[in-house]
Amino acid sequence: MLCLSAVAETPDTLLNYSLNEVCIVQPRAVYYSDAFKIRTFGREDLASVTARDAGQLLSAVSSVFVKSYGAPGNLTSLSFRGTFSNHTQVTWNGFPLNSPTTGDADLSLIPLTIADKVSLVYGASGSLYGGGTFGGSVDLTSSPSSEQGFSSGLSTEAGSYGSWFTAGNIGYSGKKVSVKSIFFTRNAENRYPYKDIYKYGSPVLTLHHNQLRSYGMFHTVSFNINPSRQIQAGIWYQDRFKNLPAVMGSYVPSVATQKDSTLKIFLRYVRTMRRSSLVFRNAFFNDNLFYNDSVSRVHSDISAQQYLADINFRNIAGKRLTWDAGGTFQHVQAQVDSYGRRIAEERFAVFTAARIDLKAFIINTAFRLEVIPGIAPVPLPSAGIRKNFLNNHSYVRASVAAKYRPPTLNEKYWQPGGNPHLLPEKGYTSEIGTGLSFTEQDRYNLTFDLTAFSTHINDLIVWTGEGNFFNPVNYKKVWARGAEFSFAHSLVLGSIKIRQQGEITAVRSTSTAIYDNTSGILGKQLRYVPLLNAFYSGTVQLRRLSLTTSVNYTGKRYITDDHSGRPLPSFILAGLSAAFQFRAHTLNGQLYARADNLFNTSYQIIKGYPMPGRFLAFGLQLGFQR
Amino acid sequence: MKNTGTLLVVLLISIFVLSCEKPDDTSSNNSFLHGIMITNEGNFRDNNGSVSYIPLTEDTVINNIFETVNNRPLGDVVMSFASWKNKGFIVANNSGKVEVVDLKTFQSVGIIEVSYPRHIVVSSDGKGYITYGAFPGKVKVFNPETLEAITDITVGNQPEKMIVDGDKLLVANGQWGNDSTVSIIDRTANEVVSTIVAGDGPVAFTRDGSGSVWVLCQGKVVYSPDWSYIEYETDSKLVSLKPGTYEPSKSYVIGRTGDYFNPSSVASDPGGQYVYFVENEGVFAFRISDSQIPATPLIAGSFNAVNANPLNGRLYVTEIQGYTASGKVHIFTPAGQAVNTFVAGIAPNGIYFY
Repeated sequence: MLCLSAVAETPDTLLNYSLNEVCIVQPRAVYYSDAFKIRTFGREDLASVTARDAGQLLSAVSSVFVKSYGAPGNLTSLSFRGTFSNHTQVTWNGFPLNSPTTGDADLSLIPLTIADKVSLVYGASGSLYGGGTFGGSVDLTSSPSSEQGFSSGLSTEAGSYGSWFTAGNIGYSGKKVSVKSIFFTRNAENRYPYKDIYKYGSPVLTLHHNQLRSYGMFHTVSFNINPSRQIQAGIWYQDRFKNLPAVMGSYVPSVATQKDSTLKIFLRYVRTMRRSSLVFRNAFFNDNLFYNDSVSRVHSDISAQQYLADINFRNIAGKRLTWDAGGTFQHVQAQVDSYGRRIAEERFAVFTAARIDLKAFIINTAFRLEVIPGIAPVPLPSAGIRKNFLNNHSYVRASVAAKYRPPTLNEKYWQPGGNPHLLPEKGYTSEIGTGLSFTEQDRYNLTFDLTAFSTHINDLIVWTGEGNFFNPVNYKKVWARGAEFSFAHSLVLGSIKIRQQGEITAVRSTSTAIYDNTSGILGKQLRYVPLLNAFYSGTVQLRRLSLTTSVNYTGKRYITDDHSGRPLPSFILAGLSAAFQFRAHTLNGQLYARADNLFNTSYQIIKGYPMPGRFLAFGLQLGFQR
Repeated sequence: MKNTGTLLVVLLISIFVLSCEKPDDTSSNNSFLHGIMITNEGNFRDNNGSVSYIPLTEDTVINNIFETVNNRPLGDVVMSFASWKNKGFIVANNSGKVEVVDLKTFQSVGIIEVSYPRHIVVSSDGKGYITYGAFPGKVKVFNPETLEAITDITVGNQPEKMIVDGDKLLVANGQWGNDSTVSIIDRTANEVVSTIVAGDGPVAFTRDGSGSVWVLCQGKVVYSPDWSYIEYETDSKLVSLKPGTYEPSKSYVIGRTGDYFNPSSVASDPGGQYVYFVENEGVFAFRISDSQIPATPLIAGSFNAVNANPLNGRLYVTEIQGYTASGKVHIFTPAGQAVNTFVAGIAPNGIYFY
C-alpha cells in the first residue's frame, strides 16, 4: 500500500501520511491549501487552553475580531476579514457547525477540550467549503488517541466571578481499536462589577442574571478493519443554560434565559488503495435553542435537524498530480414557531479538485457546483499558485476563489417578512502572500508572513424595514480588503526556550453600492468592523516553568453604517500566565495560573454589554499514560 | 466631567450662534427652551436613541444633543418628548426610564424609572402622564416639578399616545392591534371614568378646529394559530369623537389592508381644517369638511411621522433609513412643496413643537 507524501516537514502538513501503519487521509481543505493561508493550533497550543472555548482561543492568539456579548459563555461570533458572523464557516471534522436558521456559529458553544487541532483558514474557498466563507473558516478536528495503551486525564480550572471548569477523559488505543471519552462541565456565576457609563453618575454596578451552566460529553471510537479500511464514529452531546443580562443603562432587570442543546453524531469510513483513497463520512445533528423572556413575553423554540453526507475520492495520479472528486448531500429540517410550518430542504454539491506539482511551482485548482432549492446552481471555481524559493525558506502564493452564501432558513421562511426568492450573496476573494523563514535546526526558527486580500460580496442580504415590518433584502455590495502581517519565533538558549508570535491585521470594509436611496453609507467602514487588530504572545520556558505574556489591540468600531453617533473606543488587553509542568512515571501534568485583562480595562465589544475586568484563573491538568 | 459638559455646551452654543443667519433672538441664543424636538429611536439594543433639535428659525438641526452635553448615551428606543416650564422629558422605552433635562443647557437633572414606558405628556396645569406596560398597561401620574410619582391608573392593553382635553386625559390602547379602546381619565380624580370602543388599534390623537378629538386606529392583523397565514386584517381608520362623551361620530378608512403599513402618526394644521396622517403611500391631508379621505397623498414617499408647525403651518415629516443609518426630517409648505431636509438621528419617530 502506497501512502504518498509530498514535500513537507511535519505530520501536520504531510498530505497523506502513515501512522501506526494506517494511512491518514488528509481532508481536501488541507490537501489543496498550498496557495492559501492557514494557521494551525496543534496539541501543544491547545494544551494550555483546555478550559476555554474556541472564541477565547481566537481572541487570545489571533487578530481576527471576535465579537463577544460578555463573559465567557456568552454568544460569541467572528468578524473575519471585515465580514459578518454568517460569513465564516466553522467546521468540526469537516461538518459545518453554522446554524441553518441564522447562518452563524456560536463559538462559545465549542469547548476546546474536544479539539485536537484548530485551523484558521483565511482563504477558505467556496469550492472546498461550500457556502458562507467570505471571511474564512475555522476547522476543528477531534481525533481518536494516537498513543498506544490506556490514557486518562483530568483538567480543572477555577476562576474569578465564580467560574469553574472540569473535564475528564479516558481512552485506549490499540492496534485495531481506539476509543476516547471526554466528559466536561463549565459553569460561571459571572457576577462581575462594571462601570455603567450609560447611567447618570456612571455608577459601578454588579452584573446580575448572567449565570452559565453547561455540561457535555464526547465519545469517539475508531476501528481499523485492516490497514486499508478504517471506520471512525463519534458522538458529541452538550447542554448550555444561560441567563442573559440586561444591556447597560437599563433600569429594568432582565429575566431572559436561553438553553442550547446539541447532539452530533458522525460516522466516517476510509478506504485506502494503492494510489487512491475513498472517504465517506456522514453526520446527524440535532440542535435546539429555547429562548424565554417573560417580561417582554418573547418565547422562541428553534429545533433543527440535519443529515450531512460527504464522499471524497482521491487519486494520486503520479508524482506530480493528485486529484479529488466527490459530492456532498445535506438534508436540513427546522421547526421554528415563526416559520409557521416545518421546513425541510435537500441540498447537494459535486466537486473536483487538483494539485499539480510542477517543481517550479505548485498549482491548486478546484471546482464545485452547489445545488440549493430556490436558487440557480452556483458554480464555485478557485485557483491558486505557490512558488517556493531559497530552498523552501521563502514562498509567494496567489489565489482567486469564488465564494457565496445561500439565504438562511430565517431569511427565507421567517413570518412575516421572509423571502424564499432571495438571491444568494455571491463574490470572490483574491489573495496574495509572501513569507520568509530563517531556521537553524533545534536552535531557532523565525518566520514572517505578509498577505493582502480583497473580497467582493454582491447582493449582501440585510434585514431592513420600518416600524413594524422587517424583511431581508439583497441590499448592497461590500468590498473588504486588507493586509495581515504575522511572525512566529522560537529560540533555544541552553535550557531556556523562547516562543513568540504576533499578527497585525488592517481591514477596510465598506459598502460600495446600495440598492435603495439610503444616503450617507457608501464608502464608509461597516459597523462593527475595526480597522486594526493586533496581538502578541510570548512565552519563556526554563525547564519545567514557563511564563507567558500577551497583548491584544482592537481598534475602534462604529455602531452605525453612516458613522453617526459615537464609535466604541479602541482597547488594549494584556494577559499573563505561569505554568509548572511535572512528570512522574506514567503521570504528567501542569499547574498554572493565569490573569486575563491584567490591567482591569473597562471595555465593550458589543455596545451595551460590559466585558469582565481582571480575571484570575488557577488550573491543574493531569494525564496518565500506560 | 461636569466642567467638560459645560464647556461643550458653551462650544455648542457658540457654534450655533455663529451659524445663525437671522438676527439673534434671545431665546435661541442660549438654550433649547422652545423649538422643535425630534425623537430618534435608535437601533434596538444599541443604546443609540437620541433627540435632535431644530430652532424656531427652522434653519439648522443639532443632533445627538443629550450625549454631547451629558457625556453618556440617552438610551435605547427613544420615542417620546414633552416639555414643561424649563424641563424636558424624554422617554427611552427599552432603558426603562424617562430622562429629565434642563432645557436651557440640556443637562440631565433627573430620571424617572418606569418599566416599558411608551409616551409622555405634561398638561399645562402641571401634571405629568406616562403610558407604560402592556397587558394591561397603565398611566403613571407624576409631578413634573419634583418628579415624584402620584399614582398609577390601569388602562387597556398596550397603551400608546395620549391627549389632554380639558379636565380629561384620553389614552389610546392598542399598539399592535392588541386593543380597540380609548380610556377616558378624569384628571382630578385620577381614575378612568369611561372606556370607548373606537376601532382596532388606537394609537394616536389630534384635535380639529371645533375642538373635537380624532383618534388614529392602526387596525390589526390576526394570524392563524400556527402563524402560517393571515386569517384576517382590519382597516386602519381615522375616527372623530363627539365632544363630552367621546363616542365615535365619524369614521374613515385609511390605507389598505395587506400593505403591511401600520400608521402611527396623526396631526392637524393650525387652522384646524385638516387632519394629516402618514400611510403607506405618503402624507395625506384630509379636509375634515370633506366626506371622503383623498385617494392620493399630499406628499408621496415612504415616511414615518408627521406634525404641523403651529406657527406657520409647515409640515414636518420624518423618514427612516433603516436602523443603522441616520434618518431625515423633511419640511414642506402646507401645499406640499419641499422647503428643506435635515439629517436627523437613527429612525426619527416623532416631531414635537414646544
